[in-house]
Order: sequence, then structure tokens, then C-alpha cells
Amino acid sequence: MASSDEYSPFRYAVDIVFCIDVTGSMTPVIDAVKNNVRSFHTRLASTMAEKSKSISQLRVRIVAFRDFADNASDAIEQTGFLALPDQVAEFERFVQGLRATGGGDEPESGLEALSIAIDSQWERGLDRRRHVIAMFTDASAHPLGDTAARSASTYPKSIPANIDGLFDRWGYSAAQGAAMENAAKRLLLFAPDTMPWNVIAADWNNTIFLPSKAGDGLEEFEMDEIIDAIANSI
Amino acid sequence: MKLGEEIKGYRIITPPSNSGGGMCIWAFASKGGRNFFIKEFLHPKWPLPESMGSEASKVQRRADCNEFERRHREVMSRLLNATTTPGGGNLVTAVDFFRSGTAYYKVTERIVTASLTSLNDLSTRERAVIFRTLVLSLQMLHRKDIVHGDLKPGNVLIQRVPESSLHTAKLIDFDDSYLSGSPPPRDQIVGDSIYAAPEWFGYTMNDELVTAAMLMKAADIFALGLLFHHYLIGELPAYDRSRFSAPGLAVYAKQRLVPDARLTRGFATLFAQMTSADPADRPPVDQVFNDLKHDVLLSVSDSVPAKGSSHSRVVTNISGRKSGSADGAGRTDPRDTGPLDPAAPVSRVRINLSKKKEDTKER
Repeated sequence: MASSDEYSPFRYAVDIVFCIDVTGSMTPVIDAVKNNVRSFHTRLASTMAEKSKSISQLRVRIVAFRDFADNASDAIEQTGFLALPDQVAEFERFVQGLRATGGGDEPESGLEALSIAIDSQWERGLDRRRHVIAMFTDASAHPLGDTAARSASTYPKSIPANIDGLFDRWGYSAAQGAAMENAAKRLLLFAPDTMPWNVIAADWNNTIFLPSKAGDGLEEFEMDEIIDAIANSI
Repeated sequence: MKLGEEIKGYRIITPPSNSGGGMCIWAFASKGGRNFFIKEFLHPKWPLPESMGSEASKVQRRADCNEFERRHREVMSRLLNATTTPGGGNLVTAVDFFRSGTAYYKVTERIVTASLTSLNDLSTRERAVIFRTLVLSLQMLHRKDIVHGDLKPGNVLIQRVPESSLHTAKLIDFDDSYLSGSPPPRDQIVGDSIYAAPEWFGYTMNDELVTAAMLMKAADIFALGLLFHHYLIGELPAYDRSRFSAPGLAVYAKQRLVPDARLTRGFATLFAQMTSADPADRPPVDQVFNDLKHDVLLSVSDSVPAKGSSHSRVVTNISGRKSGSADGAGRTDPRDTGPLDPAAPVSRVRINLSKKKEDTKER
């Protein structure tokens, strides 16, 4: 039993990975993220306070993606975890540098981005943890076995060969080999009601699906709604 | 769950939301001309033949689902039995629980959710009626050995009785309920931490001294004490908010909860007992009900009494016995209706969860 002197408040250490589709049609949501990047942590803290929740540590990471099969050189742009508010300048610099362009055909490399997000260096200490992945895309995704994508020179070797492998990395209660803690993890899918997102929403636990209109750049989501959904998941 | 989708005959008529839903998303639905509140659980997910993952993982996941389903059905069966007893109408229980595809759903009648959140403007008599109907509902649960598991203002609907000036309290949301001493695993138990008992914190934070068997009906009594304080004063009791995010966490760390000085000493005695650190020191719901028979206990003074009042305060000492109350036995004395002395010590509750198991059995 901890003594009162060594006891810490019951707050959440929150890690959030934003997987953002940065292909041509995604301008609306990327602009919204750019306009709100500086105030994100204060708005999240304030929304959480309204829900009687508090954060002991907030780290964010971005995995921006396009399409390995279209252009290997700009298929993934990413950061490591950045602690907010200490590294807000670095966070802002990266976000402001994102450009909605390219992508080639309609399916994108969203599953590769999701895989990279799942394998993040999540916080393992502190009392209470929330590991949130927020996927933003208005497109379907190439299957993980896609040979054109896998032959790209920049394709990460850690990506599972198929969706079953990715599911194993996500895991379930008492799963062996999962990359994320079952109690801590949450997946928010801001994505169209198409493969593979609708199947993931059905099969994966702790997953909240907020279907969007395909090809509209998630125009229908206000930033307040996005922050609210993230805060609710913590 | 999507807007417009039909799930087992329930048509989803509002956009699903995860606001306040914990490990659920919820929406309103209609079926047969009636409206319902429907929740989809985010965990566990039943693997279908075409679902992702190996066959071995599907066997494990189905076992997890079967246990989840068994726990919910057991609680629902006992609740159904409770609702058929007089007064059971104040328990708003699920009308349906089922799996569709990979997900589990629970359905309740859509009820008018307008609810009083503060009882400040009500008379002592009106407050007493509300408190007693709330405690009666909890009594029905506890007699069935069910722990509500998430008592908080949002799960109590206080509504005016038609053609009457009185209000009653209805208890809702039994999704986090469990049988006393058999909560969900440490990494799956949920509930609002603001109203959670100290043993809930110990359990969720993997304190090896806090076992599943210690999560009993007394956890509801702790939450009920906080709820009473909230209703009477409009806020929770004082504790060191700079260090602790919830009253139960402060108590878990051997800190004091300080009830508002406008409350009667009789209520403060009851409050101190209900929020004792050791679950075994909290009164059973029957005793709480008996204490609440005296309306005057729930009166609230208009002003804070001066320091140094001659009335002594109840102190819960480390053995769990009470001293200083009128009858000297730690029972709430309804005659003890004077306001609190803010200078007096409040309670020296001490968590003693390392006691032998037989010491923590419920009364």
C-alpha cells in the first residue's frame, strides 16, 4: 500500500498517434489540423476536464501516409513521440510541412501507416495509460500483401504480410504477441465505410468507427468533434 | 452500429456517439413503434468464421466472450427478479442483451432523462423521499448480491412523480454491475473513478493486497456517501485536490474527506462511516436506510457554524470503532442534527485491506 507521501494522482498518461492520409483530396482535414495544432493540447486538456479526467503526460506522434505503390519516396512521413507542451514547436513545424498531394490510385497505404502506429514506443510506466491511434483517411487501403507496394525500396520490413498478422499485433484480451496493452489501447477510425476499415471496425476490439464520405477529405468533421471523440476514448 | 442500420429489429435513429460511453458507443433506436436506448460494447468481439486471426486465437476470444456474456446474463437474471418486487420499478434495467455479428448490444427503454442534479431547492422532506427511494433501489440490488459498480449522478434519474410535489430516484445503467466479490478482471473493470471506492483504485492499480474478493457491495456504499454529499451540497466533500483526482484515491492514500460544515453532525457521522477506508467498516445498505428514516438528518444549515462549537465530531479510529457519537457505538444518532464544527477533526479513516479475508466479509 502506498503511503500518502509517495502517492501520485490518478491521471492518465496519454499517447496519441495520428495516422493522416496526406493525399490530394485530404486538404480540408489537413488544413483543420494545421489551424489547431498549437492549441491541441490545451483544448484536449480542457475537454477532458469537462469529463472529469486529467492527463499526467501527453505525447503525440504523426504518421502521414500516401501510397507506396505510387511513390516510394514520399509514402510515409513520420515523427517519434513528441511531449506536449514541451515539444509543441516541433509538432507544429512538422504539421505545417504536410502537403496534401499525390497518392496515385484511390486505395492508399493506410494499413502500413496503421501498422507503424501500432508498433510505436508506447509509454509502459506510470499508473494509468491510454494508447490512442486516430486514423484519418477518406480512401480505402491497399491490402498488406500488395506486391507493388511491398516492392517499393522504402517499404518497412516490420509490416506484417497480411491483415491477420496486423490483427495479431493489435491483439485481444490475453493475446500473445500483441504490441499494445489491451486495457490501454483505443482505435478511432475517421474513415469511409469501405474495406478494410469497416472490417477492422467489426473485428477489432476497442475500436470506434466514425464513417466519413469517401473522397471528401473528412470535410464533415469539425475539430471540436475530433477532439471530443479523442477525449471520450481516454 | 451506424445511423439507419437495423440490428435485431432495432433501427438506429440517431448518430452513434462515444460521449460518456466508456467502452461503448450508444444511440437511440426504434422498434415496433417504441423508442429505445441501445449500446454497442467495444469489447469483447465475437470472432465469426470469416473474422481475422488464427483458429487458436478465435477459441480464446470466444471463451472471453462466453465469460462476458455469462456475467451479464447472471446480473440481468437477478435484476429481473429484483424488479418484480415492490418498488422495483425504480430500477431501469435492460430489456434486451444480444450479439449481432461480432458485437454485443444492450437495450433499455428510452426514458425521459431530465433529472435534478442538485437538491438544494428542495425541502428536507422532499430530499428524504429521494434519498430513501435511491437507497431502496440499491437495497434491492444488494439483496441479490449485485454491486452496481458505477453509482454517480449520471446514473440516477431524479424525477417528479406525476401529479405530486415529490420526486423519486431511478437507478440506471447496470452495464458495469457484477456479483459481489466477483468483479471483472483488473484490466477490464470500468466505472467512474470520481465516485470509485478506495479498493477499486487498489484493484485497478494492481495492488496485490487488494483482491477481487474485496470488491463488494461496500464499494457502492462508498459511492452512495459521495452521492449524498453531492446532492446536499452541490459538490463532493473536500480533499486534497492538488494531489488526488478523486475522493476514493485520497482515501486509498490514507487521506481525509472533509464533509461540508453546513451538514448536520448526524449526517457527517453516517458519511464518515459510508466512506471508511476499510470496506468492512462501511454500514450495509439496510443500516443506511434505517438512518435515513429521520428526515432531519438531511437538513442543511444556511451558514457555516463558527469554529469551536461545543459539539464533538465522530472520529473513526484505526480499529474501525467509532467514538464521540451520542450513543458511543458509532451509530448515526438522528438527534445529532446540529451543524458541523469546522474546527473539529473529521475522520481518521485508515485503509486496512491487509486484514484477513474473514474480516472483510460483508454484513
